[in-house]
Amino acid sequence: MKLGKFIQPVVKKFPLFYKEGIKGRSMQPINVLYSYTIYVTGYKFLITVLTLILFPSIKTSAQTDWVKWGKADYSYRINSTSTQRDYSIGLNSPGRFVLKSFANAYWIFISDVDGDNCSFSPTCSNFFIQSVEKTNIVQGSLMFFDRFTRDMNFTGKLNHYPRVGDGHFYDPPSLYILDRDYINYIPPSVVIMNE
Amino acid sequence: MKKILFTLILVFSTVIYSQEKNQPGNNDLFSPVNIKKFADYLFCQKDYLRAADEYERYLKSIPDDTIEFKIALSYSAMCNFSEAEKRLGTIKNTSNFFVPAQMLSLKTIFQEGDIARFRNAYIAKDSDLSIPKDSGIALLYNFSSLLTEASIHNEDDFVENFPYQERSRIKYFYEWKENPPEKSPLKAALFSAIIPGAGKFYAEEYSDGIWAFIATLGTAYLAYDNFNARHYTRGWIFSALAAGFYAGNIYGSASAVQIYNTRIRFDFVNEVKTFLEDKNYFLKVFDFCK
Repeated sequence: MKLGKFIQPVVKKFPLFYKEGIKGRSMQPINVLYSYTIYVTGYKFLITVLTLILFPSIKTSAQTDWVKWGKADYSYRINSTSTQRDYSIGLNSPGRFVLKSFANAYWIFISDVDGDNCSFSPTCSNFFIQSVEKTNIVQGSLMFFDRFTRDMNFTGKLNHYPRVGDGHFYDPPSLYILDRDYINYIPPSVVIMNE
Repeated sequence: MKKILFTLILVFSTVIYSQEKNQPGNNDLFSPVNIKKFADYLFCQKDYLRAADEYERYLKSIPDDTIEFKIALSYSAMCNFSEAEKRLGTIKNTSNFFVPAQMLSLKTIFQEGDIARFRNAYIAKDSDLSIPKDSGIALLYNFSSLLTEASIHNEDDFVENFPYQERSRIKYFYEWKENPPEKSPLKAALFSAIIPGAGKFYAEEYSDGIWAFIATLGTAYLAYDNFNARHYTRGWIFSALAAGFYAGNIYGSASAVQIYNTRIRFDFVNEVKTFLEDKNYFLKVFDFCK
């Protein structure tokens, strides 16, 4: 038998397996198996070198369990565009400077602390600023008082205003500047994804 | 030898059982005839996007004005009116589809919503083709005057242009156009000046009207109560708020009426669109799926 010369070291190394076999298998496959192992050990140096190259390369390129199962920071909060604030104070006109100063003070000390409570988009304070910018301080104030009255109405908003993506009621100042050319009617059934 | 034999059996059996490309009656799946069959199937299934793609593929092999027309119909059905118009423009005047294509082209311009352009294009085509006055597109041209700002002077002349069964509906549209049921912002402001919130009721914003009334009278009462109790600072603050709510309610009533007017016009246009779509814009229906 050609493999006979390899069997002897196996027998010496694993006498127990040789004698009893594994799970009732015949002796021959075991002998062949271990003789193959011994045959391979002839290339011990080569295998060692390959292993040394292969193992670190796998370790460096493989996806580690830490990355796979590590903690992921994820927020389920809906991104709201209606509460985004522009805290900049415009210095291009004294009126805007005064208005923005009051608005910023309101936002920082009251609104931001109180949370996202206005059901409209833009919020009432933003609506006031935008109204004044689009018209003038008198008309803008009238528009704000009207908006504030409509905001108090907690029963009639649902089927009256379209919604933006985050659930706020869409109510831009352009609808209220008393110019029909600026009125872009959107039915309440529509959901606006990009304001 | 065994290995060679095994390989030969394997190769031949694969060839024998494989799907043949050139079986009789089931030729190349991508032959023009099969592409057209598939495209027709998609077209009748109203899968217009893929039908148009398949028709385009077919046209690369065989030029066909019917297919050009069907591609335009597909784009039109997908509301891609500019592309539909472009395709209809490629149909030559020697084709049987030339006149229908010209009519469909006018319809796509109308569907795009540019009524002024539609009317100009109709006049230009009428001078070239002498469109019959009782044709569908002529009816659409007459109908389009309902959607322009210009007034229609004679109601009877206008209504009589249309088939008898449509006249009652056309009359309703005509009356709406000539006397739209719009409300007056000035009246709304006046009502709100007399009774806070009344203008909002006039604009059919009932709950807003109630809240305008509560806000104005509530702050006015607080001002009165504070002045009575000699809390003058609070009294003035509530007075200012009451004045703001009162003026805001007058202004808001006028703007609410403007929004109301815009809304009913929006609803009217939608009603007209639905009517026209039901009637296929008074044009002949091309049914290629019978």
